[in-house]
Amino acid sequence: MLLEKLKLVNFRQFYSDKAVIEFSTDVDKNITLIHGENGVGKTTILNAILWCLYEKLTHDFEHPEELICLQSLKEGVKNCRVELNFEYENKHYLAQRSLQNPQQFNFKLFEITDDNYSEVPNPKAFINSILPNDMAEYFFFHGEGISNINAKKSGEKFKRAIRNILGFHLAENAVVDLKEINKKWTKELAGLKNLSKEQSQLITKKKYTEDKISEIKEKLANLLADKEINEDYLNKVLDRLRNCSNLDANTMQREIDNLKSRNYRVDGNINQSKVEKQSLIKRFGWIIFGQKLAHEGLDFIDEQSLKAKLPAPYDETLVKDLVERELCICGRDLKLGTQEYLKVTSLIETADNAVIRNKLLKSRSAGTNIKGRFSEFLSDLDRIEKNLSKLDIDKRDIGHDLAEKENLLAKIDVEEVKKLKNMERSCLSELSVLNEKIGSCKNNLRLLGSDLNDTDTKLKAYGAEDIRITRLTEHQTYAQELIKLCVLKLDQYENDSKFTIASKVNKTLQEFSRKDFKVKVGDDFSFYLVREDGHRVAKSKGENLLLNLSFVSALIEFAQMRSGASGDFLVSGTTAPFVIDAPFGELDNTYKRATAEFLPKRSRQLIFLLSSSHWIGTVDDTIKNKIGSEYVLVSSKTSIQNDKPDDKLIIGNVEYIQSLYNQEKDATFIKKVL
Amino acid sequence: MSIEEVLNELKDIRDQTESMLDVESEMEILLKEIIKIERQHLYGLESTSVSKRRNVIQELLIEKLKNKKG
Repeated sequence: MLLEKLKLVNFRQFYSDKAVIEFSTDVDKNITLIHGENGVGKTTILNAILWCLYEKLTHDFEHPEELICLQSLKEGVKNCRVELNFEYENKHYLAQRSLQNPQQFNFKLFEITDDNYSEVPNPKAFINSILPNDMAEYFFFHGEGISNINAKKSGEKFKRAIRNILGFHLAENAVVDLKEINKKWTKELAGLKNLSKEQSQLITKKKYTEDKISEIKEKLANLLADKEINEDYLNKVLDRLRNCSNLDANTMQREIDNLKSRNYRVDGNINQSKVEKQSLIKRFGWIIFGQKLAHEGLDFIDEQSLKAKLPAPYDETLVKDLVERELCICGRDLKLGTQEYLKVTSLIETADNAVIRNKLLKSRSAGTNIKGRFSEFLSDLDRIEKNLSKLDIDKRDIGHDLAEKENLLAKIDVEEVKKLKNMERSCLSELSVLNEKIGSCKNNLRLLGSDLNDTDTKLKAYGAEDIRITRLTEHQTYAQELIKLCVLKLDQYENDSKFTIASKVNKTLQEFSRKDFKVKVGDDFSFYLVREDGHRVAKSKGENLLLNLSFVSALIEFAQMRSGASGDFLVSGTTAPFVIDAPFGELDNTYKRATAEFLPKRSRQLIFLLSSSHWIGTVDDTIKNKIGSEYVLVSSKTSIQNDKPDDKLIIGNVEYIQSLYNQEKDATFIKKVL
Repeated sequence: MSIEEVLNELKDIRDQTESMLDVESEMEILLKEIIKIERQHLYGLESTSVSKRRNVIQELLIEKLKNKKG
């Protein structure tokens, strides 16, 4: 089935008969893109298709009773209509559903040959034979609908989806019918007249056993469903507990205590260093002031030494010897009272002697000592400062870690962990009870089945002379064998398909998911993501949506591949459109791009209903070469704009205003782009 | 038969699970007939009531069993 054209006449927001969308049927440009901001009518378009073909609407379609356009109603119009043109097996059809107020529905289907319209009898059955109602939700759905597939009782939903896509319903119907026919024959047996006491007893027992088997089977189905719900619930509780275990309160408190001890030690070291610093300053602080003096003193001594002034270049003993001998080194007389005598004796005051040399030595030693001590002091001070600075950094880091851990500790809801643990215990206990009951049911079924066989054998033996009993028991055996065969074949098909679909989903995930995980199918048909080590992955909303989109597109591809199947046992597959309203809601840009890439490859015809937030950027670039048809939904409002936005959308280089104010009508119009 | 043809055959078998069946037994043929009745009654030009459909299946079973016994 390929959609060709949709016409909405006074349907919901779409006023009059001007709302027409021509879908792309091109193989390469297989995307029809319909832009619309929230509340303008995207979901209405999806629902119009569903309503036209199946007279049903999505579960969250608001005010389903108000199908006629309010603007049209104001103008006295009391009906609405949806027309859908489609192609199926090279023939063209027009499906037409209308509603006359008050609630009168009318559905017609026409085959179109050379502009001639011939009405197809039993149109509902015909539509169901092309694309069964049960399958419709996978082909026509919106973003939120996708996530529901993986919700509660996920296994049952996946199983149902696969069975629907494979077209199990005819074979399943056959099983139900054969069981009912079998019951009818048992009733006939019980109603037979002129039976012996033994025969009557055996027939009564047979009927009782069959009824009991039906009853236990029903009970078993309910128990298995309860078990699945419980397991699903337990998995969610365990996921939450796993998250909480990262924030285990005791471990966190231990870490905080360790940090506090470290902090205490660091404080001690800081204090010790400060004391050391104070002591150093107390002992050698004077050096800061003395070192300049020492430095200058030494410089002076060195300078005077260099000039040979300090000590004086002549010795006191030498001067005294000269005076005593009364003869100078230069040969002059040094007679007492002469000028020469006075000059030489005056030298004694400044002449070098042991006392002066000793003083000089001490001064130099003191100066050198002060200089040395000063560098030592600086070096010690530097060491202490560096240590203090390192300790400060340690303290700051510890403080930061401590604050972080304390913050996390504050967030741990100890009560929540306790509550989850209780829930886990309660779930496990309930599962244990359920498993016990399931085991008991299965055991009872085995015993009853064996009882039934015995009764049948005895009945045949007792009824050998009664042709009526023989005939009916033979019929029953025949029907039972057929039921067994049918169930066996359905199970085989189901299992084969389950793994084919899982491998398709895995292929998509491998290609497009940024994490290394794959899909695993449980015995109960639950699809879940696992890591390389086989552990289940708690999915983010985006990953959940990606998994579901991969699953649905795999189903659609599978249905398409099976379109050539004989259909003798299962309903043959079909090529069908994939209409998606807001598929990218929870996806980030990478997954949006990935989804926009794989969906057109998996589907023959793809119809996207997108708001600008889903479209602009990533999706735009990825699919623009595959768009065969494109429309913008324009909302016309009678209200005044005030500060409300125009909702401008630029496609190519053309600007489209999606909200028009101060108009004559309240309605949505469809504007063709491509 | 070329390798490509063999691969295509294998692909068909994988994709169309019905073709994986062994030679059909008499019961399988009967099952298909019952499913055909289901299809006609559900999607035929004139779909019918459940009881009518079950009567038709019942009659088919009785007929087949009679023929089987000869």
